[in-house]
Amino acid sequence: MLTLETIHTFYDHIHALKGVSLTVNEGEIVTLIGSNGAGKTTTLNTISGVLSARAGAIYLHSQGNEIFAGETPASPGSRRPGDVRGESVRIEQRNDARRMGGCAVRLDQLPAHAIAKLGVSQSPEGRKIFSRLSVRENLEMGAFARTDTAGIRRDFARVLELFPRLSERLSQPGGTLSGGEQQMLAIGRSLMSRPRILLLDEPSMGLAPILAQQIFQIIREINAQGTTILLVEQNAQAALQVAHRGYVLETGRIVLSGDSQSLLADPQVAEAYLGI
Amino acid sequence: MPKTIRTGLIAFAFLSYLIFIGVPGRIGENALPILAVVAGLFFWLNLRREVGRKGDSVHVLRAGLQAGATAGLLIAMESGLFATLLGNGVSIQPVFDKIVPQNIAALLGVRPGAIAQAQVPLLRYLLQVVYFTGSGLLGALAVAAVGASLRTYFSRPAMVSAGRWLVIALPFVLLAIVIYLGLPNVKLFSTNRGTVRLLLTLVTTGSGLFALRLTRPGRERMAVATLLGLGVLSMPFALDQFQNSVMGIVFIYVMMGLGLNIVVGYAGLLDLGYVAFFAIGAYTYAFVSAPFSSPFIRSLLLDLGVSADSPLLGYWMALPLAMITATIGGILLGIPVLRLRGDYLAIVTLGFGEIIRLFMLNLGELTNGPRGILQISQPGLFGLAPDAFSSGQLSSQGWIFLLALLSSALIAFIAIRLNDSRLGRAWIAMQEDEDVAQATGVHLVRTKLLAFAIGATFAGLAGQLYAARQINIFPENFSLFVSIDALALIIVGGIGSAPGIVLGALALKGLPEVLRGVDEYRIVTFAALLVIMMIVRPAGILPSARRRFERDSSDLDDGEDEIVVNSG
Repeated sequence: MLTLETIHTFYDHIHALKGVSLTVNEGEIVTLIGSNGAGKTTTLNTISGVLSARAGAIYLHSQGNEIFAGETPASPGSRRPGDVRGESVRIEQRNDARRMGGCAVRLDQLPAHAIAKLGVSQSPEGRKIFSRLSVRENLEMGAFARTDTAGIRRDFARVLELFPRLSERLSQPGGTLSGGEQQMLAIGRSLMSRPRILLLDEPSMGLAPILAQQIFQIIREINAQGTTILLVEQNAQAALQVAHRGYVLETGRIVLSGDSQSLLADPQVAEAYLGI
Repeated sequence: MPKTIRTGLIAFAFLSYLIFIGVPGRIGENALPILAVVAGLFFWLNLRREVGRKGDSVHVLRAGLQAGATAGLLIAMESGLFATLLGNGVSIQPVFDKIVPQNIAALLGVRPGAIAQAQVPLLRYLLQVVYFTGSGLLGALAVAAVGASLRTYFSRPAMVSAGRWLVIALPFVLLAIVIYLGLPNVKLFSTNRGTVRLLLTLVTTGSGLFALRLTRPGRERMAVATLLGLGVLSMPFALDQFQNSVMGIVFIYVMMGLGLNIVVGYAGLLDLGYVAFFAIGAYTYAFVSAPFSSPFIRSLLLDLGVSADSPLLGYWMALPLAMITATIGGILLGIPVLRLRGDYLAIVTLGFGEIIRLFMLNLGELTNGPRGILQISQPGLFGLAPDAFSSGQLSSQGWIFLLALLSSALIAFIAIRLNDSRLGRAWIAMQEDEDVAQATGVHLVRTKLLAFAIGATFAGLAGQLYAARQINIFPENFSLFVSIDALALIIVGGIGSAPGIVLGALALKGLPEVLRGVDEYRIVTFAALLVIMMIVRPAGILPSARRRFERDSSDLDDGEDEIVVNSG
C-alpha cells in the first residue's frame, strides 16, 4: 500500500529523517513508535506532503479496491492515479506493484493537496480541528477533495455511527468540543476523505487513560472495516497492542522493526519505551 | 484603586476628550447640564455591573456618588487650569486649538469675557462638582430602578415582542422623517437642516440592518427586507446633493469593505495595500473615459488616427475592463506573497499599495502625474446621457449613490454566497491552519489567489465608481489612508459580517461628515473609537456568527472528557 524508501527530510539544516524506509501493507495497522524528537511526526508530514523529502522516494500502491468494507469502489476516474486534478502524477510500473496487480504513484514530488486527493489522509498531532467551523463543517472539510455526493453522505453517516457523540454536537463550533471529542472529530474528518491509508498522529495525546483506551478501540474498529492505518504514538504499549507490526524510530533512523508481539517482547524496546 | 474611582477617572477622560474637541463651546450655554446627562448615561452603563456583585441599592448609590464626585472634581480642576491659563494670556491654542474662552466658558456656564478677564467665581467650579456628582447619582438611581422593577417589566414576553416590532418599525419611521424634512417648506429648529438629515439618514440605514436581524427567517424576513430595500432605494431620490454625495462615498467604501473582507475576513490574509486595486480600477476607467487627459494615450490615439477628444468607452462598457485590470493586479500581488503570512504579508502589501500610488504620481506621461486625470465622464444608462438623470428628481450625486447601493447589494450577495460555498469553507480552513487545510485537499495557491483576485475585482468596481463620482482624480486620492479606512471599517463593523461592514462604513465614513466640527480630530476619533470598540465589542458591532462562536467559546476549551464509544 505505502512504501518509504530511504527518506531524508530536513528542516533547513537540521537533518531530521536520515534514511527512513518502511512499508505498510494493505489492511494493516502499522505503528511507528519512538521518543520525543525521533522524527515520527516528520515522517507523517513527509508522507502527506506538508514537508518535502530531500532524498528518497515514497510510493502509494494502487490496487483498485476501496477502503470501507461493503462499499462499492469510487466512481472510475475520480481516484485513478494519473489524473489528480491539475497535477501530473508519475506512475511507475514497479515490480512489487506489478506483483500485486496494480501500479504505484510516487508521492514525494506531489503537493499536499494532490496527495490528499490520492487517498492519503492525515489526522494531525494535537488534533488541529478547525475551531471556527462547526462539527458538521469540519467533517465536510474532510471530504473537500471528493465530489461524489452520495458517497460523502454515506461516509458522514458512518462517521457518526462510529462517534455517536459527534452527532449531538453537529452544529456546535469545533473549538467548543472537549479534548476527546476533538480527537474523535479529527479522526472522523480524516475518514471523511475515504482514505486508502489513514495516518494517525498521536491520537491519545493529552487524553485521560480511559479515553485513550477508547480511541484505540475505535482505531481497531476502523481497521477491521478495511482501512489501512499508520499509527504514530508515544504510548508504545497501547500502540503495539493495537498494531500488527511496528517500527521503532530513533533520531531519524529506524532501529528496530517487526511484528508487534516480538517488539513487545524485545528487552530493548521494553526498557526504552515501555518503562518496564 | 477602588473600582468606583476608576469609573470616575474613565468618565473624566471621556469628558476631557469632549472638551478638547470643543464640544462644550459648540453646545453653548447649556453645555454643563447636557454633559452631566451624558456622563449620567455613562455611569448608568458602567454601574450596571455593580448590581450583580453586592445587590443592594445603597451600595450602588454610594458607588455612583464616588464615581461622580471623582469625575466632577477632576473636571473642575481641569477647567480651573484652563481658565487660569487663558485668563493670564498664556497661549495654548497652537497646541490645543479648541481650548478657547468660549469653550471653557460654556463648560463653566459663564460669559467668555469672564474667562478672558480671569473673573470666574469659585461657585462655578463648585457647581461643576455638584453637577457631575449628580450625574453619578442619576446613573446609580437608574441602575437601582431598572434592576428592581423595570427589567422584569420589560422582559415579559409581550414587552419583548412589542420591542421587537418597535425596532423593526424604527427605520421606516426615520425614513419618513428624513423625507418629511426634505420637503421644501418644512422649518426645523436648527439652521443646519442638511446635517440633521444626513445624521438621520445614517441612523436610518443602520437601524434597518438591526431591524432585519430581528426578523424571523422566512416570510417575515423576506417581507421586511423587500420593504427596507424599497425604502433604501428611495433615498437617493429624497436626499439632496450633499447627503447623496456623503452616502455615495459611504457605499463606495461598503463595496471596498466587502471586497477587503474576503481577503482579510474570510481568507485571513492581512492586506494593507488594498487601495492599489481601488486605484487601478479608478485609473483604468479614467484612461478610457478621459483619454485626452493622458499625454501618452492622447498621442497614441492620434497616431492611430482616432480622435482623443471624447471618451473611448462609456461607464458600462468600461466596467468589465476595470474589473479585469484590478483582478490582474490582485493576482500579480498574490503570486509573490503566496508564502507569506501575518505581519510579513501586511508589510509587503503595504509596499505594493504605495508602489501603485507612486507609479500614478511619477508616470507623468501616462497618468499626467500630480495634475491628475480630468473630466472623467459620469455613468449613463442604456444610451441615455448622464444629464438625463441629473435634471429630474435624481441629482447627479444621487445617481452615483444609487449605483453604489446597487453595486454594494450585488457584491454583498456574492460575498455572502461565497462565504457559504466550498471556496468559503476552504478560505476559513486555510485561515485556521494552512497545513491541515492543505492535507484535507485544499489547493493553497489557487485558494489564496482567488481570494486576492475576487477582493481586487470588487475594489476595482469601487474605484471605477469613485472616479466617476470625483470626475477628476489625482494620485493623492489613493493614499495609504484609503486602505486603513477600509480595514478600520471592517474591524469596527465586525470582520466577516456583511451587515457589520455597512455599519462600519456608516460610522467611519458617514459620521465624520456629520461631525464636521471635529473633522480635524478625525484620526484621534478613529483611534478612540477603535480602542473603545475593541474593549466593548472585540468582534465588532455586528460580528459574524463564526467570530461570535470563537469569542464565546474561548474559555470552554478545557472541558471534562467523557465519550461514548460505539462498540458494535
